[in-house]
Amino acid sequence: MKNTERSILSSFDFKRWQVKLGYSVMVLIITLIIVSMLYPFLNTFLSSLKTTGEFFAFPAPFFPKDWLWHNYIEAWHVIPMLMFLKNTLMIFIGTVTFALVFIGMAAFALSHMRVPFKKMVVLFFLSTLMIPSATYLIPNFLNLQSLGLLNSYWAFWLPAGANAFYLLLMKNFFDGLHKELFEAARIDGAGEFLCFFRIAIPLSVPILMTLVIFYFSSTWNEFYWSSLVMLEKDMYPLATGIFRYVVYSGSTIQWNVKFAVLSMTMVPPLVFFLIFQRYIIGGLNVAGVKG
Amino acid sequence: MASQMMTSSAAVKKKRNWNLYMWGTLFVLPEIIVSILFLWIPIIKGVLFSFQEVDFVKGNVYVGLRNYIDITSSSDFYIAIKNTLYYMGLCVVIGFWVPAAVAIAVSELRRFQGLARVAGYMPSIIPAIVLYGMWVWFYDPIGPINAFLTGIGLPAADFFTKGMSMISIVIMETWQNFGGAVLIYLASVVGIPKDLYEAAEIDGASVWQRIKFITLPHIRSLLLLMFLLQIINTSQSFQAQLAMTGGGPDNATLTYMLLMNRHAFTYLNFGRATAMGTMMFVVMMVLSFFYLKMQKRSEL
Amino acid sequence: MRIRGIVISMLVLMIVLAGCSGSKNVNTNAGKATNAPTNKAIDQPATEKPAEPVEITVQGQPPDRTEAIEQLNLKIERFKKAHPNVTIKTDDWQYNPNEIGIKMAANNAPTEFNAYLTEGRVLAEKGWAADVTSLIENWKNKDDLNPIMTSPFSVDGKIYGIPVDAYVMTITLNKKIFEEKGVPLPSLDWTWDELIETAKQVNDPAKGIAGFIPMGKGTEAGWNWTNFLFAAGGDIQTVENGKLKAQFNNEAGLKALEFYKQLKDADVLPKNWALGYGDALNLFNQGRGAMVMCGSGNAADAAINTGGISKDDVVIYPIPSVTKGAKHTGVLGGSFKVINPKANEAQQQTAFEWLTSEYFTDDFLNAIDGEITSRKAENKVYIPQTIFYWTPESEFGQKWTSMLAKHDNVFTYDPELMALLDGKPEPQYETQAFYAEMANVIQKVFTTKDVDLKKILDEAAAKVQTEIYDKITVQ
Repeated sequence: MKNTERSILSSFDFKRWQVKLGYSVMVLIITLIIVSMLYPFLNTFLSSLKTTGEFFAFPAPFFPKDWLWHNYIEAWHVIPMLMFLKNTLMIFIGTVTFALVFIGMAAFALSHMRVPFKKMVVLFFLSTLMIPSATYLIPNFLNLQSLGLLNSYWAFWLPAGANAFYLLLMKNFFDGLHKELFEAARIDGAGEFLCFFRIAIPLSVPILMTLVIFYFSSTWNEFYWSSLVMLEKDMYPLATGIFRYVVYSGSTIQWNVKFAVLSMTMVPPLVFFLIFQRYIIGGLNVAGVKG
Repeated sequence: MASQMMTSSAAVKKKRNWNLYMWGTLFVLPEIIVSILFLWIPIIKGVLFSFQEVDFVKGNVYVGLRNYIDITSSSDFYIAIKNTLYYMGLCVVIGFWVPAAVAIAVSELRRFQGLARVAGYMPSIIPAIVLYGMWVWFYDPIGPINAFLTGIGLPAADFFTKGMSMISIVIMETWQNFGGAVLIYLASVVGIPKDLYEAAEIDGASVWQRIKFITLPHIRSLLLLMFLLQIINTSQSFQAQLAMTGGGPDNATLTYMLLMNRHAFTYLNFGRATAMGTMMFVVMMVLSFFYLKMQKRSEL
Repeated sequence: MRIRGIVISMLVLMIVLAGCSGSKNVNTNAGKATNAPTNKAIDQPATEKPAEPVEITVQGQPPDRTEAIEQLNLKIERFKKAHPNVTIKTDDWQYNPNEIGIKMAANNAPTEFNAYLTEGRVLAEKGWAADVTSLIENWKNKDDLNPIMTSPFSVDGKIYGIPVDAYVMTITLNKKIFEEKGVPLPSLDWTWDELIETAKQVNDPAKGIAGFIPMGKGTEAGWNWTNFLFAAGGDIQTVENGKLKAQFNNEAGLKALEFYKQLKDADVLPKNWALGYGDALNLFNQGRGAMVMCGSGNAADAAINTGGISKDDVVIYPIPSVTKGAKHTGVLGGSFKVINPKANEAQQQTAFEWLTSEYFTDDFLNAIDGEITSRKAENKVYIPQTIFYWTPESEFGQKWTSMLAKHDNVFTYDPELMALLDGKPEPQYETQAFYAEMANVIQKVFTTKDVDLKKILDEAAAKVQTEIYDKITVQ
């Protein structure tokens, strides 16, 4: 970031000692948070390089004595990693596409268009959050079965948009965009789709990218539902593969090898987050969004 | 809107109405269809389960309110409600303000902002067994926290007593979950036009005043929404309790959802579990109805 | 513009609908009969065995159990040779209380699967296990079965499964900790007092080493404690005049709870009471506890094969007796085979044949023999259960023992231990609910200083009685 850019604090503020002190404390706290977040990450990785003896040693050494990289070679052959990875990515791509289109359009309409019984519609979506999903777990499964969606990616893609949590977030962000923008565009003859794709979407890149990150991590971690919906091993996403074949109770895989598998699965989302977090920044405020 | 008033015949008005609402309706329609198909149909079927003795082999039998009577006549039910309310309160006190504060702080970082943004979200990709294992170790009688406490001459703490266990869980959960909310707040905070701050500074506003009069009002509606969503989320919490204490000691961390899970997956009584879910649904709906009534003018 | 918009939104809807109808619909429905063409049977004169094609889905093995997969495939080959009309698929799904409901509702559980003995009653009551009484009645080997094995899944005289193996709860000791502390091992015929004394000697709280690790979190807590209830001669419940009565607050129960209190007061337990099954075994593997309570060889299996503890450092003890000379009673657990009740008759029959075809045969022994040999190559130890579908004194039992004796990577139980073990099946009604309630009582003992043991036990019994037992009518 260039120094000329400012946010709440300007370069002038930094000349005052109170601000300097406060800022230092803040940086210190954030650093502590970052360290506490990195710790389990490193710990998982280092544990994957230990011997079984070191793994269970108490108190556990932080670093392994010898770095046993061959644990990774073993780990690679424990499950068909690439096949599971492909399934995870397929589920993710479809999920995020369907979800963002459906949710985005509905949120935009609820925010900037005329929708009959708008409040009721909002309540219609909101109330789905209030019933614990375990209540309708079994009917949900039977429903997918009767629609013939079991064991296919569609079982994840089609329902992806049915998420009121993200819908409300999206709507909240669209609410922050000024009505005049769209009214002006409409007067200029722009249709609703143009307003949505050309104005609303580009202005909401930060929240869109946030949702993309959320969808990625939830797809990446979800194992229970997919272990039920996907009936054949060939269709399992990575998390399910790990749940069913690596960390299941009674597994005979050594713990260091299990952790090597887990370490490998931490890398793609990390890279993904680092790439996509770049878009959660300001400066996209095209002229027109002025306070 | 003016044109709306000028219409004379009802037919024209109807057509006008349709034209006015058509695009909005078309935009919402796919989402409504998907929600009906994949949420509402299962939800209604689930609610029906609560009036039945669920039997997947011979077929379900209607038993009226028996599941409800069974549930409400057990003392654990009331303990679970009390615990859940306590937990929700703790989450607000300990956890609600953290992500907003961190988001504002992170947005001020001049360097390593990217890392700071993602760091908070990292627990979401760390396998659950690693996370719980780590916290069990942190809270261990001879773990790092107690080593620190005894090191500076304080008595060692016991994190899983009847009084402490829920607090310990909330601290852990806050650490684990605040990153997602930070990203959401960040997406909003970064959108605040910088010239507002510039103008305020020129007018002599202090840093704190700038936060108070510019940043916070800007994310006010988001804060409200996040508060509502947090209430809904925490009312359904059970995973951390299940992993750390299993609801103990002596039911001190038995939440409503944990009890419901027990009925569903330990006692395999789906009728009772869905009765619990339905009761929660009804209560939350009533509450949100009042919420919407009270907030008539605010945009949800 | 407008028309294009409509076209686009129609397209979206069409994609939705197309997705619903067009996706492939794969069902591994065990219950759906592979309907045989019936006209064929008419053309041919009825022979004694009409070989109509049958398809069954049998329990598979997860990929890390290469040796078991190898043996399973061989068995499938053998079975197919003898039954050419049968098609066999495998499904590596494992029984899990979180999933069984959905599997049954959606009818996509395999035709046969393994389940825990403790679930026998529930599965039978829910109708999730087929009634195999008549199949067993007509089985040539029915009289060779070990009678203790079928009781956990027999309800009202009907049998809901096929026995596999079982265990009695034991206490596993980490010999290394004893040696480091210079503490001699107690005698196998030990008592409660000896357990406390031993625990005190190996205990080292400053280093985080506990003398004894009882499970304290979740239903496991109640399950662990019940061993002492049984050893003291107590019962969880009794049936009187068609009514269930809570019995665990009687004298034996109080004694068992007092024992837990003594363990707590002697400071030989881990400081963290919140230990589930996995947590307790993990502490044991870490060397943070000298003794842990588990099913026969299960703790040893985890410690040796995945915990990095040497086979020679693990010793198994029975649940101690309340006084010298009393019985070493522990909870009986284990596994059995369930046949999917939603499968059709032909499938159920075939699945029964599949499960029992090699019972009491050399093929069975050879398969385990082969599995042990492959384990040897992977440096793994085979840890057998202690009770099986056969009786130990039978001819087949002898063959089994001599087969095991050929290998050096088999964990051997001390014959004296085997003589001391006394298994008692869990009660028939709502055991999990009792365990959950008992977990609270145990946690009270573990976390509060002065508790009135008699009072909390009576309160728990009253609660279980009114909230659970009184609602059950015993047939």
